[in-house]
Amino acid sequence: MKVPLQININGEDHEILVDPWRTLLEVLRDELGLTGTKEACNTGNCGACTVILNGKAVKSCLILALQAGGAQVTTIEGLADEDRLHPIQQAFIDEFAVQCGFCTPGMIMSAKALLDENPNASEAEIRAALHGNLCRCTGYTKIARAVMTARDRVDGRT
Amino acid sequence: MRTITYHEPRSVDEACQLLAELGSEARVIAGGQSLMVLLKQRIVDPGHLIDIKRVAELDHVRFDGGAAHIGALTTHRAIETGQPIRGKLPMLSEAVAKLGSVQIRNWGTVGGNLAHADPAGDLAPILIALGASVKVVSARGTRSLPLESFFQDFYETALGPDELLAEVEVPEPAEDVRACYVKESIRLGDMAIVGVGAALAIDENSGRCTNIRIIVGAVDRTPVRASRIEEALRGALPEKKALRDICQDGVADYHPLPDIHFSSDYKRTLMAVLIRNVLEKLIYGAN
Ligand SMILES: Cc1cc2nc3c(=O)[nH]c(=O)nc-3n(C[C@H](O)[C@H](O)[C@H](O)COP(=O)(O)OP(=O)(O)OC[C@H]3O[C@@H](n4cnc5c(N)ncnc54)[C@H](O)[C@@H]3O)c2cc1C
Ligand code: FES
Ligand code: FES
Repeated sequence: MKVPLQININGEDHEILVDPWRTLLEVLRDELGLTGTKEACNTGNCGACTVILNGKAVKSCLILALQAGGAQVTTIEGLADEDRLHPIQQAFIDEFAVQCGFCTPGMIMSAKALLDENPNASEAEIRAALHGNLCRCTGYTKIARAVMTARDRVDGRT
Repeated sequence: MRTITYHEPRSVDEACQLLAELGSEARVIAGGQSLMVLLKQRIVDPGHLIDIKRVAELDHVRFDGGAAHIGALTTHRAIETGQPIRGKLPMLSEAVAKLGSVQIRNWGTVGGNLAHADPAGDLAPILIALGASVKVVSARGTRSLPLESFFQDFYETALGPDELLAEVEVPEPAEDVRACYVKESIRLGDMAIVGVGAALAIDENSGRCTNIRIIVGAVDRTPVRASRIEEALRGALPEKKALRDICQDGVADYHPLPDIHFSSDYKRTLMAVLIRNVLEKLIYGAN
């Protein structure tokens, strides 16, 4: 039996009916058309599906949609301000931290959750926060550098 | 067509009532960080899901009566970063930091990790080493049992179909107790190939080891004790050089379960090495 789900995504309230076994990822992508959040492993291992739920980075493929009822969810679609990219997005471009781009939304969401909580995160803290996000292309160096660049820009240090 | 009825109790009483009515028809879900994969693959396919994530009374960390009372819904991340637990049980915070990734730790719970009873789980070895017990509730009442006897087989615990794991109780270690957990895994945060939790005290005057407990995960169906090594060290003044032999002899009787990556022999060798590393660290402060 489908169950009503109320959820706030990127500042917008939604009310939909979902099957109890549906994941937050399925609801985002298939019901709401928010395909920026990626599905890869679907077993919690790769981090491509990372979103921010009430301030915390989580893997949306391992969360029941109904468990996010009443929550504030931020996805990659919620970061840019109209045409102005979020500083982390911009830094990923500037530092060439994107190759195929499939891991990028998840990487950026993990980085955002970290910098929101700890705006002065060190490189080691950045790498620890991105540990649950796999990238098969870049080798991580440029991703870590991009997050540091974003950190320094937001911080007004450069 | 799949049918699952979803229940969202807000109190322990309500959850216990549902479990009493539905029993093995129902499955409890906490963080789902282990259960979701099983649900997707239909290895677990219950008629009812009882989502306890909003039972606020299960989400607490309290220190009283000389023990930490950790509610089943406490997230791994809260144990890793929260005070006062980091201050009073730093070995537990450090052990949890080795589990999965930030995302998993943000949503996964202590109760779910223990109730899942994966023999490679990271929390059981250090918690058993610290002498933890668990509080289990049901509509029939409340009972407590040592965590060591909670695990019964692969993914099997002492929980009845109508029971909920409510709390883990960890005695506050005495001043002279030293404890830690070490784990070897393919990559940081993967499941343990072998994990060792140990606690011991060093007598201030004699320098001898007392109250030693060594618990090894991922080698058998449940966490096991390295009893022969415990015995060899109890009351002893072990020399650093002797530890190697004590550990090698002490694991000789074990036949660790192999997995797709690692043979039994490899795991036994690793078991001896990790136990020695832990003991050197605890006794001599070496890393
Ligand atoms: C990518 C990845 C990496 C991981 N790495 C590690 C690791 O390195 N080390 C490690 O130990 N674990 C690891 N895990 C496993 C996982 O993090 C934990 O086992 C998990 O957090 C379990 O808690 P949960 O709240 O998510 O439980 P759930 O998945 O909700 O439940 C697990 C089981 O426990 C039962 N249950 C839950 N709560 C209760 C309760 N209060 N009373 C009775 N039954 C209950 C459920 O019915 C279910 O059978 C990993 C998981 C993933 C996906
Ligand atoms: S798709 Fe969720 S972690 Fe890989
Ligand atoms: S850019 Fe291709 S997976 Fe990361």
